[in-house]
Amino acid sequence: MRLACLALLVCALGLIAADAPEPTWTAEQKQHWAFVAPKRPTVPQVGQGSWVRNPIDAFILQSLESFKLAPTPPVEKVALIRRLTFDLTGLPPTLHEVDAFLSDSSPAAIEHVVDRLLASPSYGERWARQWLDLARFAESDGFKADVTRPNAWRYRDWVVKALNQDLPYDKFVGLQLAGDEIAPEDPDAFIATAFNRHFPFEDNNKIPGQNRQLMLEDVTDTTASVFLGLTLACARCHDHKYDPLSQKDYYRFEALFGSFAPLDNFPLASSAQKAIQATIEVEHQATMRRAQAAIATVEQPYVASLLKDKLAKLPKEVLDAFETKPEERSAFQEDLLKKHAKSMTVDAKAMRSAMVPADKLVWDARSSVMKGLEAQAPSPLPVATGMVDMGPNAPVVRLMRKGNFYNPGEEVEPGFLSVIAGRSEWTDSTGPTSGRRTALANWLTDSKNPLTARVIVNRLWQGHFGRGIVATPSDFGTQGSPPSHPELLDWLATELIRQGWSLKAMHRLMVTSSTYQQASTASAKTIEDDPENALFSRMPRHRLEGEAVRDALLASSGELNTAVGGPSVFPDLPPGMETRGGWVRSAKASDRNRRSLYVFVRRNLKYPLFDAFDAPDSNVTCPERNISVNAPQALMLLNSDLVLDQAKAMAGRVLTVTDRNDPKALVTQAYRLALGRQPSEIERTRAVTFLEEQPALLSGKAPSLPSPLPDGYDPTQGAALVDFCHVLLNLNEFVFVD
Amino acid sequence: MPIPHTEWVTSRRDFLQKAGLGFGGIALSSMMSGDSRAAAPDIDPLSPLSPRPPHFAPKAKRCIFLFMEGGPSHIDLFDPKPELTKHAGKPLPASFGKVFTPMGVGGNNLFASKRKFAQQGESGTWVSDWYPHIAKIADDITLVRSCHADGVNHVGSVCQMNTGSILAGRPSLGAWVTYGLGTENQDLPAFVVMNDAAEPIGGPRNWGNAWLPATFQGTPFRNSGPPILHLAPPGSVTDRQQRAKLDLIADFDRMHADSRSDDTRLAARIAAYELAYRMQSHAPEAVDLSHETPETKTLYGMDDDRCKDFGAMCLRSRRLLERGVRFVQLYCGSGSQWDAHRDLEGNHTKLCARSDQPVAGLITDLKRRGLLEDTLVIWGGEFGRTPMTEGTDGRDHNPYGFSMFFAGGGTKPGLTYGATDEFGLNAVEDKVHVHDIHATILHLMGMDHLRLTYLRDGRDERLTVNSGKVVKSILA
Repeated sequence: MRLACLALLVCALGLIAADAPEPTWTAEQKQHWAFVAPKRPTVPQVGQGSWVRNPIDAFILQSLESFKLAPTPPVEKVALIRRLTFDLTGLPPTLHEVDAFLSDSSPAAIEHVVDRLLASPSYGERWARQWLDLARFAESDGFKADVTRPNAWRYRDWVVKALNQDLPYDKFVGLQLAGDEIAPEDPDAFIATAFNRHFPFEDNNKIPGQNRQLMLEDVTDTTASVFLGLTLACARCHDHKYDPLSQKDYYRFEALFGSFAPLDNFPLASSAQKAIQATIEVEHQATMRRAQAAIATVEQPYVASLLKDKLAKLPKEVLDAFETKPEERSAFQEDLLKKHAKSMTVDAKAMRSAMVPADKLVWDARSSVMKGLEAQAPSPLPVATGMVDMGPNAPVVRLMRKGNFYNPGEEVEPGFLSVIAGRSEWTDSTGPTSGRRTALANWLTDSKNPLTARVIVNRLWQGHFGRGIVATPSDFGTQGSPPSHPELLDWLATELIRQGWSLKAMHRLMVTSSTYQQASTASAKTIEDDPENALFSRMPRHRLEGEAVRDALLASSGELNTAVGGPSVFPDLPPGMETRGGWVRSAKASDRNRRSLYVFVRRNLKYPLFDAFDAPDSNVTCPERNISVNAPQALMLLNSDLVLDQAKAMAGRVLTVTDRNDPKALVTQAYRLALGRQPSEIERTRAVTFLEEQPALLSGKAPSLPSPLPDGYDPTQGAALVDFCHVLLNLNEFVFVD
Repeated sequence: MPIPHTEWVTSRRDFLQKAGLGFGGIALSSMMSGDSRAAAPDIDPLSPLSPRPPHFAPKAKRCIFLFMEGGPSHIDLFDPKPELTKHAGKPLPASFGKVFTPMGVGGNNLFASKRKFAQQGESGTWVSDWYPHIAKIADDITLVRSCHADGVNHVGSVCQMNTGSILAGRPSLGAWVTYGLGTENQDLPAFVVMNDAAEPIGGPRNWGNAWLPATFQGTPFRNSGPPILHLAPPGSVTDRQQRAKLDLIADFDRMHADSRSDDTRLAARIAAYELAYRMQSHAPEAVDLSHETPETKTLYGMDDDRCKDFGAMCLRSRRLLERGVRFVQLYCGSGSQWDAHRDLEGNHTKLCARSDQPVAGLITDLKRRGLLEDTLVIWGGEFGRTPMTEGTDGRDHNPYGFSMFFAGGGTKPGLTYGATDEFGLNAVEDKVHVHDIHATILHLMGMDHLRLTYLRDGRDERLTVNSGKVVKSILA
């Protein structure tokens, strides 16, 4: 019996010790297209030479010709400037911009517009949104408490600024992964590291170490998905079922972040400011300490007895940390104690009620002195939130068997993905930080890395053309889509590096191509032969994102506040939506009318209009949004005060035309403001009839009037015009850009 | 020469699915033929909520999930434990090892239930005196006493009961069901959610679509006034005025779509406006209780202050189910009210009184209207509670073993299935994981949980993640 038990035990131990051996990769696996560095292809020589404005067109035309298809003719000019402006800035063109473009007959008219748009601050705001989707950017923790992250917006502004300044993509990557190591003195570099501070956080999780593991998993999954376009997350519990990514690869990659820790109070100030602040704080703290000591002498005996009971309930790991001498505690233990601080402090109320009356009197008096001092505390310097390195004392990373936190396996050293980099020994840097993330950034942005450049040019292409050359933008593995135009992808990837990793250069190439300037309405033959537009034989029609819908509403009404940057704002929530914590309406109307990018991103309360129009869940990276069409969207645009208010303001704006008594002039102006174009004759006639008939259908009481209503203008006519503007803001043409 | 399609299949399918309902005119199923991995539903982009055929003949055509949020105590409601009474005041035997609970009560003494239990009806199902009305319909329910889940905190556990995962980011059960089946009534939302108090812990993700198309997310109905945000036009807008605007929108949209006929999203959006208009008139009627008889209202406890609000929610739900809404979810004690860390007696007395008569009334009413046989009713929380005491009079969270019950929709009435250990801590016999519950619900609604999939980042995602099996024993 005893023998049998022993044998079982030995078997069990054997099982624990022997983790499955790591797989080796076959030549075929290593030769998957995405794992082989791109080689710059020759630009094909094709017919229809005049159509080819740049190499993009040559590659696209070559594949069209091979299927005996011709490109779709160019879109007309008003639609083109509308497309370009929404695409590069997320806003509709102004009337003036449309007119200027129409009257510019020079061959470089398009380049002029593109240069202007790329130089506009709105460009960074527009393309930051795509990046923020990838970065699962949010301004709260998520989970039950959904604690606010008051400085998360600084990261959003950093992205906008980086894009507007055309920060080279290799630096853009490096600073987000390792800004704290690359430029330790630069506050902006620190803010960039917040890319990985956006992990959801369960404030209420009491299981020791689990939150840290969840953070590492989020950071690992997101980093691999965003920069490498790989589903490394699949290898968390087992070797990847399809791609050459082993479970050990997962934990090696995770270990690159092993010394990573959030920091939410990085001071944003000059060293002089910091020094002054430090002096004031030291003085204040000394005073506070004296007051504290006076209180402590009264409290001591009561605290000791109450604390004893509380400590008895703590998990063993925490108790161990508590009992370890402060100077001997590991970084992990310090962190653990910080998280459990609450369970190791005594409730003041409970303590006070335990006191004998005499002590109570003294304690009350000293406490009130303390409160007075607290009120005099110097106001803190502005701070930023981001990630830092814990240095050489970082906790080890272990492989979690089956991804189970409760089943940790062997210790894993940092390393890059073995299918690309091979396996090698790891040495931490001897500097003040581990250097792991700097090494990761360098590996990612090495021109020999087969994925980084391809993944980003593909994301840009997806943004402009509706679908990536690789249709699965965050899955370049064997289960992802193969590239539809592999040579074009490789040409773009190498061109990005050749142009010093300039993203603006890539945008310019893409939007000035003839491919981009095709109409979105194609011939029956083109649609029949290329039904899914796999060959980019036309431009796809683009459904505006919720953010762009709201911005376009505010732009049409003239109410949009185009200020750039700063803390997020809170527009009105619809009446009847239960008021939840964390949404305090911005006091100023101009703040409530800021661009959508600046609307506060609360994980547990998505702004309803964005929610209805498929804004992604900010708990996970989102490479591509859904595009849904549904009735709640229609109700939102038909019945919400937000849209009705814009219709009123837009009607007020329409009424500033010279001849406001001419319904045709009103209709034309309303069309131009909402859709950027003149109405057709049929449309104008139908609209004028509507303006004539609608007054009879209004109720007598308080109709919606133009804002402002000009003196002497018939309110009933004004109300009909509001209804007409409201109609235009609801049209398919308003939310779909050709 | 037509473009060869074979090399595009993966990207095309993925693209279409990613685009949700945006791209269409192409039946997804036609592309799936011959693909053994997936059986994603064939969605008509013009009418994404149109009824779709299930995988096989369903027992339940619609479903209502009564979510007792915060964790009702199974050992005080459905799972009597004489051993617990016998060993009260002593810790768990050493054989249980170290038990982790969020408030660290693993080493605390066992705490006997103060409830009186009796076997009810023909079936002899055990129900405590906290649920006298449920006791009367005990023969209509299928009690599962061996449920278990993975989370220990509310947010993760509520999330798992709704989405399969303790982590945020996956679609909810109701979203999967409407993705699979569409809905019977095109004038109402397919998936309706109602809360009786604060928002459920974790918020909208509990009825969210995550990466499924947004159309399939739950629509929260409010308890008073118009049930949907923006359902009614602003006060001064007349119906004729609104209709004239809608007509003009439709005219202009049709002209616009005429020259763009290959883009079905445009037609879909024209249809969405018509549905919105229909919902304006149908949704208020669907939740209007003024034509329900006093007898019916009494059946749901609407004459009793303790439960009249939840009773009204249950009655509104019956009206929605009758009208063809596919999935209804009601939260009782929303915002974690069942979470009796202290004063179990006071807390549960109140919440049991709130839920007892309305839930029993709903099941009785469905039955007498002939709706129970194809309506699946589910009662449960995110976990149960510990047999150990917390403080002097409370119980901590217990995801290791707890009870749920089902009624109608092809479940076996009068059955008690599975068991916890002698103290009610761990499920030990015929264990049923949350994934198994989900697999069973889909099965009853005519769907194979392995085949109801959605391709995302190269993986055919499903509600049950990597596991789940249908609990055949509880099927009628």
